[in-house]
Amino acid sequence: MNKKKKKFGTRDIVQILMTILIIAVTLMMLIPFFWMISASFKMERDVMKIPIEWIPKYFYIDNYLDVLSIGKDTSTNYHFPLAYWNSIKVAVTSTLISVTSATMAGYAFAKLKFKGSNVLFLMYLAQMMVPSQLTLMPRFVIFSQIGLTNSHLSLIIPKIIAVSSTFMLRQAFIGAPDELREAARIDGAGEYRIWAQVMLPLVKPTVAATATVQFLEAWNSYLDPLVFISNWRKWTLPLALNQFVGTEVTQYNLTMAACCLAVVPVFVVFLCGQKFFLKGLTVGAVKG
Amino acid sequence: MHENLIAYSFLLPSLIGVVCFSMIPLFISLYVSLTDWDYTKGIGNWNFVGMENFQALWADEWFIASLKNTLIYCIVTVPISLLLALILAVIVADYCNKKAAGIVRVGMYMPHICNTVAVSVVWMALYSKYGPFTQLMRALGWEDPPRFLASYEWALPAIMLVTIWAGLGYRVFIYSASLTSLPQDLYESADIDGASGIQKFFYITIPMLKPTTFFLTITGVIGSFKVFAYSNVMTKGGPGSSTYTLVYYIYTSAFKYYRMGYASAIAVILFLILLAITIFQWVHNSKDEKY
Amino acid sequence: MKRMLSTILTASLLGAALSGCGSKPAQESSTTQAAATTQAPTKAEAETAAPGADQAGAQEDNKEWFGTPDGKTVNLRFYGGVQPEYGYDEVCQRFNEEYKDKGVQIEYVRYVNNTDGNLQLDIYLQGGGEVDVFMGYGGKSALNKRVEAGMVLDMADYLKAYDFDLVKELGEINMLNYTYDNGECYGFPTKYENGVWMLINADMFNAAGVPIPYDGWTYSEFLDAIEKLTHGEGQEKVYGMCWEFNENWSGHSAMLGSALDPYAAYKDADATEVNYDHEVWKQGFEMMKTSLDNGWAVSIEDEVSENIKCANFFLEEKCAIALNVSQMRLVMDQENYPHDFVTALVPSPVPDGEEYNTPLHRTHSQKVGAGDLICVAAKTEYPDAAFEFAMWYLTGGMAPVAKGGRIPLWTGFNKDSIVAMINENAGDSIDEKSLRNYLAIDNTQGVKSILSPVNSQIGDIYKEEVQSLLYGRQTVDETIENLVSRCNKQLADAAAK
Repeated sequence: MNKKKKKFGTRDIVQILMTILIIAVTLMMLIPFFWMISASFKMERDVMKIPIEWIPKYFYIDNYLDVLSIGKDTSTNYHFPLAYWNSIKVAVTSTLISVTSATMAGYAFAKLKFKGSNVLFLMYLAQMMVPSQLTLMPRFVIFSQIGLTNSHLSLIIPKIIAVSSTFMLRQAFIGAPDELREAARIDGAGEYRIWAQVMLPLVKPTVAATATVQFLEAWNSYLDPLVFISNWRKWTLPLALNQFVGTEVTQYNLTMAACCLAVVPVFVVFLCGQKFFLKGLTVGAVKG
Repeated sequence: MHENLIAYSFLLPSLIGVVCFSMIPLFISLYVSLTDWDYTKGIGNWNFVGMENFQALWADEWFIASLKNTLIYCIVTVPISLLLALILAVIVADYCNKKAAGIVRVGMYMPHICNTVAVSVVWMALYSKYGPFTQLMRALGWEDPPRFLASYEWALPAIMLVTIWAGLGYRVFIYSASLTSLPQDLYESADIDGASGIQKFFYITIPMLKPTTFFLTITGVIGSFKVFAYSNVMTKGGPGSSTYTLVYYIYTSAFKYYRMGYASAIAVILFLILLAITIFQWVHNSKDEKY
Repeated sequence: MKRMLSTILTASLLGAALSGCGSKPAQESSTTQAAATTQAPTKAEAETAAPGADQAGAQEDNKEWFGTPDGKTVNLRFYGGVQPEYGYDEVCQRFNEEYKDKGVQIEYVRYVNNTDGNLQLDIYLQGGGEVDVFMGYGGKSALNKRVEAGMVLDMADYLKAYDFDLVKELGEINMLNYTYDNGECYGFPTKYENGVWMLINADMFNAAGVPIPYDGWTYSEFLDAIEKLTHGEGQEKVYGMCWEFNENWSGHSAMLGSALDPYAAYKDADATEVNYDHEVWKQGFEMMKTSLDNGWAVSIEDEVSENIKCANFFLEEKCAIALNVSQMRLVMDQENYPHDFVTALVPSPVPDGEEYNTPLHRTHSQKVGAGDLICVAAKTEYPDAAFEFAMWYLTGGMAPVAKGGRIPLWTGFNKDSIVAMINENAGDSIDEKSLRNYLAIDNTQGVKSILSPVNSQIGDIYKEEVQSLLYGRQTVDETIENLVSRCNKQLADAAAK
C-alpha cells in the first residue's frame, strides 16, 4: 500500500514481525506437502517415526520406481506414465475447446444485445447449480448413443460448456471499454474481427486464468472419467491414483510417492502460469 | 434481427454443449426423479410414481443426516474461511513486505489446485494415530487426541478443516486483489482523522469489500453443498452417517443401491436449494450492476 | 419474442429429452435379439465338443477354432478383482499358449472390488465391447443385480452342448445359490471357500499355551484365548483378534449369524422381517463388544483411522487371529508379505450353549462357501470363445491361482494334490492338519441363502448400528431394537413397491 512513510521506527518493526508471521502461516499451510514429499522418499518403517524426520536421512527412490513401474511388464494393468500422457492430452485439448467456447459466449453476453439474453444467461447460471452426479447416468446414455464412450472425446467435448469460464469472461468483457469496439466498427470491422483482434487482447489475463482453471479441472476430474472411460489404457491420472490407493496398498511411502506424482506437475503448471492466472482470476470476483 | 443472428452464432458452440450435455440430461433426471427407476432394470424400464420419492425422503434417516451434515458443513466452513482469509489478506496487503506478499499468496494457493484424491490421501496419513497432525495435537498439550477421521464427533470437523485449508489461499487471493483496488483517499482521510488500524478495518475495509465478500459467500455456499470427494475418499460417510453429505448420499443411492429415481429426487432438492441461492445472487447483482 | 423463444427452446429440449429416453430400449431389444440369433449356430458347433475329462489339466477339445470365421484371432478380456501377479498372469499365459492355434487369446484386467470398481464394471458390461469374461464377487445378491440388468450371458445351452453338468461336477450344494428356476446359468463358482473360517497364528497360540481349536470352539473359549494372546503396548502391541471394520463387514456378520443359517439375517424365506432380535445375535454382539472393550481386539477407531487391513496386520504379526480365510493368497505370498510363522485354518467360534455346540455348527458346515463366480458378459462379441475360457478355467486352468491359495471347487481336482500344491508353495507355513480339516468340511447340509431386494441397505443399516454399539454410543439392546425397526421399515417399503 502506498501510505506515506513516517520515519524508520515502529512501522518497520511491525512490518518485519507481520512478514515473519505470515510466512510462518504459509509454511504451516504447506506442511502437508512437505510431509508428503519427505514420506515419499522414506522406507516404510521410517514414515511414522517420532519425532518426524522432515528431511529423510536417505532418499529412497525405489518408491517412485515401484509406482511408475506398475503395469510396465504385465501390460494388464494401469500404468502411471500412460495415465500421465492421457491426462495431458485430455487436459490440453479440453482447455483449448472450453476457452474458445467461453470467450465467444462471454463476449456475446457482455457486449451484444440480443433477444433472450437474460433468460439464456440465467439458464447458463442454472447449469452451475446442477450437481454433476445428477446428470451422470443420462450423460452416459447420451454418450453411448452417439458412440462417445470409451473415448477421450467423452471427456473433452462436454467441456464446450464451460459455464463458470463464460461467467468470468463475461465480467471481463463488460469491463472492456466500448469505445474501442465502436472505433473498430466505424473502420468497417465485422463483429468476429472485433472479437478476435480488438476485444480478446483486452481480456488476456482472464483468458489465461480461465485456461488455468479449466486445465486444473480437467486434470483433477475423477467421476466422469471413471464412468465414461471404460478402457484402462485410456485412464487418466486420478483414476490410476485412486486405483492405486484403493488396492491393498497401505504403505504410506508408496501412496505418498503416487500423490507426489499426481500433484507436482500441477504445481509446475501453476507456478509457470500464476502471474496471469492470479491476475485474471480476480476479474470475475472483484467486480461481481 | 441481424444482430441477434450474430450473437447466437457466438453462442452456438457453448449453447450446443449446454443443451446436449447439461439441459437434456437435467430434464431426463428431473423426469427420473418422478419414477421408481432402478438402473439395473435398464434404461426406460421405469414406472411413474409422482411425488412418492420426494415424500419418502423426509422419513429417510440417511437423507436427514446428509442434509444436516451439509448444512453444518456450509455454516461452519464458509464464515470461518472468509474471516480467516480477510484477516490474512489485510495483513498481507498492509503490513507485509511486498516481495514476501507475492510469494505468500502463491504458497497459500497451492492446496487449492491439488487433486482432491491426493489431498484426501495425504490428510488421511496426517490424521492417523501416529501421523503428524495427531502428533502436533499431542505436542500442544492434548493428552489423548481422538482418531480424527474415525470419531463420530471429530470426523466432520476434520473434513471441514481440510476444506478450509484447501480453499483459504483462493479466498485470500481474491480479497487481496480487491484490497489493492480500493480507493486510497478514504484511508488517507481516515489517517488524517487519526483513526486506528482496527477502526479503519471495521469502518472502511469491511464495508468496501462487501461485493467481494458476497461473491465469495455465494460461491462458497454452492461449493460446500456440492462437497463429495473428501467424504468419499477419507471416511466413506462414516463413522455411522456422521460424514454423509447430500452428494455422497446421491452417489450411494444411485450406484450402490441402484435407486436412480430416488437419487435423482435428492439431487433435485439439492438443485432447488442451489438455484434459490443463485437467483438471490442474480437479483443482488443486477441491483448493484445496473446494466 | 422473448417468451416465444424460451417456449420454443423448452419445447425442443423436452422433445430431445424424450427422444433421448425413448430410443434406448429399442436399441437394447435389438441387441438381445442379435445375441439370441448368434446363440443358435453356437449350439450346433459346440455339440462336437467332448465332455469334460476327470483329470485336472487333461481337458481336451475337439473344437479347434474359436476365432472369427475368416481366420482372425479374437482377443478376450478377463476382468477380476485380484492383482494379476497372484496367478492370473500365469493363467492367461497358459491359456494363450494352449489356444494360440485355436484363434483365441486372453488378457487379464484387474478391477477393484469396491463400490467404484463395481460401478465401473457394471458400466462396461452395460456398454459392451470391453469385458468378455469376469469374476464376480459378493455372492448371489451381486449376481442377481447383474442378471436383472441383463449384463450376464445365460450359459445353460452352452453347458448342455458341452455336456457338462455343473451340479454333478461342482456339487449340488455349491450350486445351490446359483441355480435359477428355469435352469438358467448366469455364472458358476470356481473357488472353494468357507468365509467364516479364520486364519490363526499357530506359533502365537503355542507360545501363549492356547490349544489350536482344530474342531471349533465357543465364544467363551475364544474370549479366553484372545485375552491370553494379547500382550504389549503402543506400537508394539499384539492383539488377540482383528475384526474387519473397514470395507468388509460381511465377514463378521456372517460369522455371528452362522449358527442361524439360513435364517441369519431374515426370519423367513421371503425376507419379510429381519432376525436380529434372535438370542444368537445378542450373544454375538456382546462377545464382540467384550473383545473390544478389553483391548483384546484392535479397536474400531484404530482400524478405521489407520485404514488397517486385517490380513496384512495378521501377516505383520500384530494380531493372532484374523477372519480372512479368503485372503489366503497373501499368506502364501512370502515375497510381498515375508513372515515366518505357521498359519492354521480353524472354524470361527460358535455361541455358548448346547444348541449350537454341535459338530455341524462348530465346523460351519451349513455355510455354502463357493466363491469367485465366473460369468460371461451378455454383450461379448465372442460368447463361444468366452465360454470356452470359463470352462477351461474351471476344469484345470485355474491351477496357477490355486498355488496362490484359491482352492479349486471342481471335483476333478484331487484334495491331496491341492494340499501338495499348497504345501509346495507355502513351505511349512501352513498347518497341514488344519488345511485338511478345511478341505474336508462336510457341507452336504449346506443351506441356500435368503436375499431381499434391499440387501445393500440392510447391510448399511447393520454396519451403522453395530458401529454405534462398538463405539459405545448405545447398548446391545438399543442396537437390536434400532436394527429391527429400521431394517423392517426398509423391507416393508420395498415390499410396498
